[in-house]
Amino acid sequence: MTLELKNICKSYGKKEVLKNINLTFQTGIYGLIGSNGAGKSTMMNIMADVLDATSGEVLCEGQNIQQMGDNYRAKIGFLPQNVGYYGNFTAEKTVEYFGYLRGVDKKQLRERVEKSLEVVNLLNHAKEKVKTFSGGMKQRLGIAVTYVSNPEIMIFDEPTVGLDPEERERFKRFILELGKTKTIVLSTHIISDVEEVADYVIEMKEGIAYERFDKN
Amino acid sequence: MNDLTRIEFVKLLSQKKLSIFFIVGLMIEILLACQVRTIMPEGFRDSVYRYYLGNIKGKYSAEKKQYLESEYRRFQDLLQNQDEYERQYSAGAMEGTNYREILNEIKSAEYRMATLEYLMQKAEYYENRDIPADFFYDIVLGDYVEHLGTDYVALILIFLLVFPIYMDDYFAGTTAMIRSSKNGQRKLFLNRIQVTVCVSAMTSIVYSVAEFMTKYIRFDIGNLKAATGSLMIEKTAAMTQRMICMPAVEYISIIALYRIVIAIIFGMIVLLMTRYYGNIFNLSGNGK
Repeated sequence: MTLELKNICKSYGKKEVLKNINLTFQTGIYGLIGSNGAGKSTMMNIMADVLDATSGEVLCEGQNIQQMGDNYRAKIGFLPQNVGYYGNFTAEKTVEYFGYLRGVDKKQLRERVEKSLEVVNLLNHAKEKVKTFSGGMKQRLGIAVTYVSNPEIMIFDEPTVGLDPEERERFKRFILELGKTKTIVLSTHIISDVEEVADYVIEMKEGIAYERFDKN
Repeated sequence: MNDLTRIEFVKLLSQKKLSIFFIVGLMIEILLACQVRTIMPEGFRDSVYRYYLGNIKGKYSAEKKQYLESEYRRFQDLLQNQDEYERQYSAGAMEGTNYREILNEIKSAEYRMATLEYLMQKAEYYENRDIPADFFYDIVLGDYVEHLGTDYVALILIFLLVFPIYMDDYFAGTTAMIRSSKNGQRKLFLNRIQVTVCVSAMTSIVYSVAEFMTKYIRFDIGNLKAATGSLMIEKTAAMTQRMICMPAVEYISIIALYRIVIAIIFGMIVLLMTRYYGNIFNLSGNGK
């Protein structure tokens, strides 16, 4: 699966957040690093078809993602930064809800929900309400939600924030496994997280993307 | 109903505060329905009104009008000749039983005349408008029809019910995750339209039924089959000929339908506004 960003610019008023980004993502793990305000989240939101670029286009297998619409979004899983949930939903209901939204087949949904909760070690908390969850558990739930449709492209914005060391290791193993067959893009400001798992590292600085590292 | 619509319903209805709003709103609706706001003329007595309506019940006729006028004149005469009756009784020209009967009638003459005046006005109204009209106990029905219109209590509740459909995503912080989902944009919007239409229509129906049932159970609502023209109220005075000749129950049903339409339109406006502003707040005005 190839995802291509061509001449992507994004401005809010006079402020230019992304400046002519040209990147290509293929199967593998891409680490996105950069300080706060560098444009990482904006770029990921554009890749996830949540934000519109001011100019430029995002292509998936050569097709403009906006023209693909639902068909493109069926291929992706996006975990935004500072994600929240409906407090009165249980973990299971939350994943199920997003499963429906992500177009998971009804027959497979139960199985997918269980699998997703299992990989983030939340299966034992499936029936608990999300409002009782700690920050780390919520973050893991976000990863489960992103994984429920088993998408080909997974975009994680600061996925390890709030995770304890054990869960962080578990997440890294999970990502390494997924990266063999999927396109994974994850942003973080913890360089060590990226070094261990990423095949490619992209540094964002003042809205410009620099390709820094290629494991291959 | 598809699974997404069903789960959207579950998501909305699982909020306890919304159930509380619904019940409180329903109680307000019932309390308002317990009020009769029509102010009757001074001296008017409900029991006297019922008594005369018992005598003239049914279609309006000139004979019934004459009967009311004769009754009015009778009480007028009683009042005018009060001294004469007293003199006759003192002179022994009148028996005590008769005199006491006359005295009783004189005592009630004031409010009987006030009530008869109202009935005569009504007869005059029917005669002048030349429409098929019935005499029946119409105080509650008249008041109900007069105040029947947009149900603002239901609209407030619809606002409270529809507002969270999109704004909950904003408050929970799920907008970006939803919008990046396959069904999170157009399909979800269509599903939420279905939810809004159902919630708005159901609220309007439940509230209108509650209002009607309260009136029906608590009061003597009178003859629902009578033409609205029989009700001497400001609203019927402004109605067209066709509507005046319509049975009250039909008019009430039309207003209920009107309320449902208004409820759905209002619900849709709230949904569209919250969708627009929810996206703007959450996504920093990206214009998507």
